[in-house]
Amino acid sequence: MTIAELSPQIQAGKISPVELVTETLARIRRHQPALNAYITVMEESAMEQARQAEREIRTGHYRGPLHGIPYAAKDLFYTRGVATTAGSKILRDFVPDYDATVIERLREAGAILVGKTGLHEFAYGVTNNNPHFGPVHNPWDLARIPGGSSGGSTAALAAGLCTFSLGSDTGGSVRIPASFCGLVGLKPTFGRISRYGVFPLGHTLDHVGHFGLSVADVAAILGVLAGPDPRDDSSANEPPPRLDLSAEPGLKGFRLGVPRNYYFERLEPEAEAAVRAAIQVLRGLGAEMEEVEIQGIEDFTVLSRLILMPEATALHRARLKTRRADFGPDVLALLDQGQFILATDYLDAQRRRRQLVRGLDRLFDRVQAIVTPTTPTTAPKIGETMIKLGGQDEDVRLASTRLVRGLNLAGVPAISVPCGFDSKGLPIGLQIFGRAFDEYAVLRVAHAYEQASEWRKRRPPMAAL
Amino acid sequence: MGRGKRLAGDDTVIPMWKNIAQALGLQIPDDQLEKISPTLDALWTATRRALDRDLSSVEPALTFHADLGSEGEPEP
Repeated sequence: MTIAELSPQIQAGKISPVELVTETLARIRRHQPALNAYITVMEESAMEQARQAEREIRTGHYRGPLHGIPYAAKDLFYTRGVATTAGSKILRDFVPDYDATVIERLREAGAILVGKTGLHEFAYGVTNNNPHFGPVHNPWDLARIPGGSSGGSTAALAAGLCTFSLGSDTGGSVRIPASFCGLVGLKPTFGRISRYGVFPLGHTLDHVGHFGLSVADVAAILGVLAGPDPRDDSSANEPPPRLDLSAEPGLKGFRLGVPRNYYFERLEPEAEAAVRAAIQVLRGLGAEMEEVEIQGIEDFTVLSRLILMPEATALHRARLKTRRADFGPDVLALLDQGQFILATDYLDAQRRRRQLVRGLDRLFDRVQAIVTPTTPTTAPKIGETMIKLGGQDEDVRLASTRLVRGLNLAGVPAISVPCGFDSKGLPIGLQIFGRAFDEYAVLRVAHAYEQASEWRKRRPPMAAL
Repeated sequence: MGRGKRLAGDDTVIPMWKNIAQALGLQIPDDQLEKISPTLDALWTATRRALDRDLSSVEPALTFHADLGSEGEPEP
């Protein structure tokens, strides 16, 4: 069930948080062996919080729509007294003595943390094929990756092992697993959600994001997480985002851009067909569609990689010297590559970034949001390293990130919503992005589309077991 | 650090990564350096094209505040 379905019943006392959390923990025990979605399950503290929520609600102290709702957090959010591994062998025994700001805010809202989910080692990859904790499996097909790096959070949510979940997105790590697992995943604007207490990967590219079963759920979570934080230097002092999605039904007069360049190249035909069909639905809802050219989008993508590599390597430089053998091979290779990036190139990339972002911002004078595919394919198989797209062999990592990574450079809000399934029964994602701090436009389009389609009602078979 | 290599049909000169690794004292075993070299070649080529313009008048998109106040918690 969604947050929107659960919360009125919790508030009315018809659903007990204790029963809800008990059932969630039972589902985790049932499906964790097949999915490997969690690194740590917090049974005792979750039950304690559930009992507290029940007492509060019964005595008239209802905190809001997340009160009594069980959620999961990617295991790079600091949790006081609970191991935070970042999916690494190196931090396997690291126990923070404070909570991330987002964990604090969710606790204040009454949400109940049931566990910490698996991720690609140090969030530096898209497969979640983790050499230290094992691969996370996709609930739609256990032989396939859930996408990453926040794949444990999406595997858990899609299989019904929580009601919403937290992730982080440095090069697509919220939107890719949302697409591969058939969920809604939002990467808000850079600075919108505090990163305090979130283990970093690339300081100028990292975003906190989250997953829900519906766009309304994602909006409700954003309402709790968004806001300035004096402990996070990158936090923006912006007014809260508008979130009243039912105020403007349909998209009459909404100006929506469809890129004519880059985004529709080398796609799996079934993914392209689903996205094109979704665009027709949006047109039918009254959106005024305009073909747009996104200047320099190839540069966005390549410079995002160029910037990430030295940022990640600088973060891990000391560990590269002292704990080299404790990194997994793919992450070690990326960290080694980062040692060769020139400082002058890094700074010029950050200069070019500013030019590119200004150009993109001007585009939002013409259109209010832009719609694209999220990924060029559905979920690849675990262990698959190359895929063929448009007659060309392409590295799974580069293919999966090619349509999403550039938006981390821009820092603009972007969402992935389910828009269909391929003939293998795997979900396909639609990406919508908008102007910085205009999460409302992105959520509005996503919500209108979701209401006009049936995709969100489809869950993997194991979610019913 | 060596003269670098030129890709066929391209003016881009690719650095000799092995020489750079030695000069910088990077402790990357030869076999691992060989594995990452094609990626470095491709990234170098792509970024030459992306950065081939005058950017001198543009401020880098990095943030610094003079009033740093209390620093964040140290990383583990």
